[in-house]
Amino acid sequence: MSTATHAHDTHGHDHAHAHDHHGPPAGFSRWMYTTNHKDIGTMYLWFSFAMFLMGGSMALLIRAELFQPGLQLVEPQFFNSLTTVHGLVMVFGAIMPAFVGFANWLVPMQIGAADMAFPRMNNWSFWLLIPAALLLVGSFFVPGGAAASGWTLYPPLIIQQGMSIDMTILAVHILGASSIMGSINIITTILNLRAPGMTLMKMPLFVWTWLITAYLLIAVMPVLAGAVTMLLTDRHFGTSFFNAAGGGDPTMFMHIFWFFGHPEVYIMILPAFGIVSQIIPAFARKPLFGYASMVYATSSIAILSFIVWGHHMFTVGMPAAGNLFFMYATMLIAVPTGVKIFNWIATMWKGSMTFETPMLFAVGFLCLFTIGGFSGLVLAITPVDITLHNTYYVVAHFHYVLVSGALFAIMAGIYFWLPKWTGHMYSEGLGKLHFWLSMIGFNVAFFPQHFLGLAGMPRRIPDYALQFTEWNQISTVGAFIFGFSQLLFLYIVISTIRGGAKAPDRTWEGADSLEWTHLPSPVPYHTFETAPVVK
Amino acid sequence: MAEPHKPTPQQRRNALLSAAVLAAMVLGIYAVFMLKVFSA
Repeated sequence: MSTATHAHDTHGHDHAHAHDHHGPPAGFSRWMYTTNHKDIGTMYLWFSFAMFLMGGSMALLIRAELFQPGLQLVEPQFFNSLTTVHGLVMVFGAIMPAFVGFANWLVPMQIGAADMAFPRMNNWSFWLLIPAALLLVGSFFVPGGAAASGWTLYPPLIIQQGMSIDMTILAVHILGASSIMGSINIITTILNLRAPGMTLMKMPLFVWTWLITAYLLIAVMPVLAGAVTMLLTDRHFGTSFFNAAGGGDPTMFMHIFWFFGHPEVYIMILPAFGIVSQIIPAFARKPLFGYASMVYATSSIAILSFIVWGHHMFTVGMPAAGNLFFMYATMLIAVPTGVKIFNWIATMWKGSMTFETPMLFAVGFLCLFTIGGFSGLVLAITPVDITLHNTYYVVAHFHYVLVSGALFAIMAGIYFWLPKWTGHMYSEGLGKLHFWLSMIGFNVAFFPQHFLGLAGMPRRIPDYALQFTEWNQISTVGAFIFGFSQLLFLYIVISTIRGGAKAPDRTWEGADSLEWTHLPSPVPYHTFETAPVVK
Repeated sequence: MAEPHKPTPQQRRNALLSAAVLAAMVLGIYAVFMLKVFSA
């Protein structure tokens, strides 16, 4: 990790206060036309939270329906739409934009840049999200209802449904364009606008993970765009890429989709690794163990993510050699992931640890993401996966990776940087209450789903056999605890923005990246008036 | 309002070049993919 000194008179307290009367433009135009990376980061984070609540509401409706067997609240078609749009909203609307929000806030500050390389494109990247979200959510209100094929958009269902599919395809295209523009901006900023002395191997891990993630996005988003373009031409322009009736092959879509889809999983988890790699050293009061190996492990995970897509489709009838290749390649990812897990543990080893809310979420991430990783290894074994495919075991697995993985890291990051962003301390007591409610609610919701899957309960079905009732009821209770505890999180964030104890500039004594060592809390509207020099 | 420091002309040039290369990568992947499937 880097240490840095000012070469010139940069922002200190007095300097920052001298400019306090100069604020950003007031009102709506500030947000509409802003090119400030912090404003755009804030908008990304609020947008992602709004989408998180929307996707979460759909999840609670799903869990309410599954509280007991039989059809209680919703029609099967609507249930399928709920599972589909829940997945799309959470992946493209909540998790990804949240990490882009973190990137906007933190990348320029952590590398000593004044802003992103292309601030206007940055503004455009954000505002594209709004029409995409409206298309996705609005698709519920068109004839035939929202897409009901699962978030993977598999044909033939996706070809047969109504105009909501066209809305979904357009939304995916727009979201992809937004992600690509954001990625170009992030890569360009990191490669070209680093402060003097900030070499690549001095960059904080969060910046490294985002650099690698942005390359992943650049590589796979055009593939997703190609796949949904082919869906569109199958639906409206007489092609039969995926339509068996016209000589097409639905399996080809699965290959193309998952060539995008598996790197997408790492797009959603690598920035989480970056956040946790900032937080654990800060609260262990030790430098990150094995910094270089963390960088190489992150790169290895990214590269391997391109050759494992077949593990999502062991049941489609690939040749045995293909199944074996994808099985072993998938297991290989456990090696660099294990390097990261052990490095985080080694960082904590004999550290002067304290457990404030960010650290609780980071340790929660470490424990639960590891469970998700292990259940991933179970699913990587071809013969086991053939039994567990499309069961609740898979649902449990990816929620352990994406909720207690990605989402817990996002929560950890919010609590970690909120004092820097707002200038106020959050309520530690309420933060810890939020953590424990989330931890308990999450595990009560999703751990029983392993048992349901092992017992053979299929996913994406609104009804089920009587023997699955108890675990489903427990799961639903946990989901509601987890879901409603996020309203507490909303209250904590709003109350921190509105006031609270003054946050010190270096809120966490073990935090040593530039935003903590060189910038006041809250960070001034324009971050660095002169570039810091990093030694 | 206090102004942030600006990227140097060299940094601007490099940033534009990086962005152009990355945009070409994106368009190249999409174009090759589309040409491949539509010409098959």
